[in-house]
Amino acid sequence: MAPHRDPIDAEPWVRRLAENVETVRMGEDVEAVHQLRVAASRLDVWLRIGGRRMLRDDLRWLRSAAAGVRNFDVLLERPWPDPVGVWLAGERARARRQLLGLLDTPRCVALFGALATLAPVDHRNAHGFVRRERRKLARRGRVLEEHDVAAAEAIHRVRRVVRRVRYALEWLGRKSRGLKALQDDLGRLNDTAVAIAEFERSPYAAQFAECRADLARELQLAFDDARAAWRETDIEADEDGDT
Amino acid sequence: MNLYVIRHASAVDSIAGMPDELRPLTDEGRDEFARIVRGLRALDVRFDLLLHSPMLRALETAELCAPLLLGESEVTPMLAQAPSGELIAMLRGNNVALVGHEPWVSELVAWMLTENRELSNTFGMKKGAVAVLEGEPKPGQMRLVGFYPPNALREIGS
Repeated sequence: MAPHRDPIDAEPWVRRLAENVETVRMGEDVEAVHQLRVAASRLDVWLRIGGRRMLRDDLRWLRSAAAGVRNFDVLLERPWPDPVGVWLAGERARARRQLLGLLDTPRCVALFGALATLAPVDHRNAHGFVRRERRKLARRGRVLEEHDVAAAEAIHRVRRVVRRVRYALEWLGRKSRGLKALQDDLGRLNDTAVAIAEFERSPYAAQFAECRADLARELQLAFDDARAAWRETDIEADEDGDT
Repeated sequence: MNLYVIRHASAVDSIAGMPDELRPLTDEGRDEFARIVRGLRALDVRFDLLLHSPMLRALETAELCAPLLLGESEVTPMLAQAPSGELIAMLRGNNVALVGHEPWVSELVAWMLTENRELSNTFGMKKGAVAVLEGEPKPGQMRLVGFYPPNALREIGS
């Protein structure tokens, strides 16, 4: 990995977070909810790189409310029997109201103000962070070899550490195509697991048993793809972020 | 509830053009408050909730408290203004820390102990001082169980 020597300033992503909050507030832009969540995740990694503990819970609170909407956006991209689709749309509307309410809270305003006060972090912290998280990934990723799709929580931890390595590399101006592909596959696996959980929570789970069987097959396929991606990924590899 | 009311550590003086919310701790303030945290740790103090003001000096002071935090932290503008019912409504758990500014931290202490905010001068807090209150988190319903000037906690932490 080529050395990156400049202090790492969060300002561009704090701005992007604020812009996406405004877009979410103004309308039904599905992508803005996703980007809000991504910006919050990237800033969480930046705080971790700086060894900071404060504001991470606030970002998680915001990210979690955005995820509540985003999960339904992803779910609604699938074909569902009518009553299930209507129920999901209603749940999505409820999650969006909750997110909008949260964006207007003093906590949210204070979070943006506080993020804007923080000084850039030393690039050496980021290099150390990447090394540590890569070691974690090497250890945790074994779950994809040694267990099956039932190891949901362990797989979820792999997804989180992949995200941290990838975003930390990006703070250093680097990128990893392999980790991006692995993150995408693990994301699809997670989306399917969320779809199953929401379907089971709906009042129609018993009525549409074929949906359950389809989702179970899809979950297995997504796991197989994630396992294949894990086998193909060199977790130590990264490239110049501008290429 | 044990309520730990903390005034931020020593920060750089205000200079022309620097917004007040951007004043960081001085190196000395940071070192001294790290010893205060060691003192609190020696007293077996742990927090299951830490609320702090968004101003940089309070944020940095809260960060130094992180080793004592077992639960969540939350940033709130309610600690950068006069204490209110909204702030009290945020208090939950058994061991709660609040990191804020004068004159509001001493006003909060006076309010929670006596229900009379006018007595805030009686409870004036130096930078890095910690007041420990116990009881139902309602105005006039808490008891003072500790009022630590910064040098006392630094001594304990040395």
